[in-house]
Amino acid sequence: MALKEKYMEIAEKEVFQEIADSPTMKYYTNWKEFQKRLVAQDSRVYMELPDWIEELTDKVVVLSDEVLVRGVPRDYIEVHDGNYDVLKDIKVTGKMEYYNAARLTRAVTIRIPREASLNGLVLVSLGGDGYTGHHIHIELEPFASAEVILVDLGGVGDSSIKTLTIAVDMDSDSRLKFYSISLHEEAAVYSRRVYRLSARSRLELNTFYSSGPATRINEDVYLNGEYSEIEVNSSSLAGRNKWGDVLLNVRHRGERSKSYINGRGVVLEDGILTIRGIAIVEKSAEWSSSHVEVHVSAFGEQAKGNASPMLEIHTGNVEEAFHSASVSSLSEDELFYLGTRGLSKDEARELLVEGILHFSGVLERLGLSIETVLRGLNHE
Amino acid sequence: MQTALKVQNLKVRVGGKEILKGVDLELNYGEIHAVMGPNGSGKSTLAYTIMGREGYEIVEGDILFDGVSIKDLPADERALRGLFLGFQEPPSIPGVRFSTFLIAVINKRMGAPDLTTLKDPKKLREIYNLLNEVGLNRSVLSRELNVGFSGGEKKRSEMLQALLLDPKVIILDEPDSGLDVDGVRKIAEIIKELKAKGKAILLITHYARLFNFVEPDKVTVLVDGKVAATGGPELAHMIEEKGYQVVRQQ
Repeated sequence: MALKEKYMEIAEKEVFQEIADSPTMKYYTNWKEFQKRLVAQDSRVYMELPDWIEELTDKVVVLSDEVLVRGVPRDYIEVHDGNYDVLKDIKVTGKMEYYNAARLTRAVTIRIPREASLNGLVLVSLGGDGYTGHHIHIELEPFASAEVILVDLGGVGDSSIKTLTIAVDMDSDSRLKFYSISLHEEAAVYSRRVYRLSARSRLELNTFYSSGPATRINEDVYLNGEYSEIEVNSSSLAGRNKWGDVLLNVRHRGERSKSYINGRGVVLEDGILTIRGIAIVEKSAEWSSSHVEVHVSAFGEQAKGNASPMLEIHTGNVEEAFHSASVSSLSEDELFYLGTRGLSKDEARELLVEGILHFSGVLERLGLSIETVLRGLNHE
Repeated sequence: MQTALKVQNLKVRVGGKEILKGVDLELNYGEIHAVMGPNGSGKSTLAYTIMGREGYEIVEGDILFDGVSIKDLPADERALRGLFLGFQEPPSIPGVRFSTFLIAVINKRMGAPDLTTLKDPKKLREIYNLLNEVGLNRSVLSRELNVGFSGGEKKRSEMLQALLLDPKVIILDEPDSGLDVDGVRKIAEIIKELKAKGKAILLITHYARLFNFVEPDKVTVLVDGKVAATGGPELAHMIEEKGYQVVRQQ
């Protein structure tokens, strides 16, 4: 039996989800919307590469129906067809993830050795109509260092579904600065990203998510090695008729590992946005430190925001453990304060929205304006 | 000296309750005018009303800035005309980095349609210099506005903005509260610098310890929403020594 059929068969028997969610959280994701769109149809990736990506780099790997590699030595890249077994790279559980595994059309593995010079490598996953899926696996060898930019573009047409799985393995003493932008437009998206860090490795993860009608993003970070470190700076947006569910999940396993999770989001009109920051410090992760902070700003009478921090500590010795969360709009105090600096109410609101969307630093790195993002995929 | 701000028989109601009951006050350019008073005397209400906070209803009287009434203007327009309020406890605004905020307010003053990209790159050098002057590390620019700022960082940030935005009238609401002696000394130095530049400074304070480092030209004491006494620096020192009971008895 081909992998696709095998996974479809398993999916039918699985429950909807059980990935890093507590049962009380499951209502945050609009599973019915995904289910509604799980109608088999011919899928095709036909989006064109936006000009602004062309202008960004000379090192690019584009996943569409095919894989295009430009400016990256072939030694570093392995291209797989639609039969790649994603389960080799990530643990899959639940109905949705098996569906996603079955819909995988193209996959690449990128190996970054110590001597590689891959700063500014751009990985692009394009969308299309129907139900499309890509998988990217990145491996950093010991002492390797890289800056990688991921561009995840959603599907076209309001019945499209896009899935993208990412697995990142960082060997000891490696460094990765990872910028990730997800513009999901009309597509329902389910994306699972897993990062596994060995001793003394450091990951800086800067993310920008613009939700589609049903976007679900799981960022799962495993701090397996001692002194491994993750810093997450995340900006999320859910506009009119958009539904975003972002999970920033860190599991400490190595001694003296450090996590710093900062999730900020803005929800407009009748959008819904949930950001969950979760840190679990296992027994083996003594003297670790963890900082989880998630804030959602809601504008619009029907806008709904959820911000949930969770901290689970299973060891008696931690260096630091901090968590905080809020859902708010601009308060009278804040409006007055910004007013005393010369900003009108509309400008104060604009400042807050733009501040949150710029928070992660992704737009600056990519040279994108908020107008471009809000307008769609037109280049600058 | 030229009059910058004139508060005339100001009566203000907040939440239906009369807080200011006919306050008169005159502030000149190049002058430090201290407003003192016990808790609940109406000092912060006076500052907020001058700055145009919503909900602070002027039932009688007027506020003249450079001879023109501003009582019907919203806070942002008063700010753009040259009024500035340094907050006692500025609010935290998660999501907005300090640098983003500074760029927006600078651009607004320069009339730039885009509030996100610094219109005049030379201003960045000015910001760095001012950070150094007020004793803030450059890393503060990447932090969110007032989020997790220590008491001292908040005060210094407010003073930085007073220097950067170059207003004509500066109202400072308890700029020394929660500071150690070195912090108070630093704030006093900045106030003196602003005075030397010809700014009109309304200095609202509960205690007179700041006056050990910077002497006010005039002192007005508010008690129960009314002016209970006016005088020079000697009045502040008398209050420091004997408490507000002195003016209550007058």
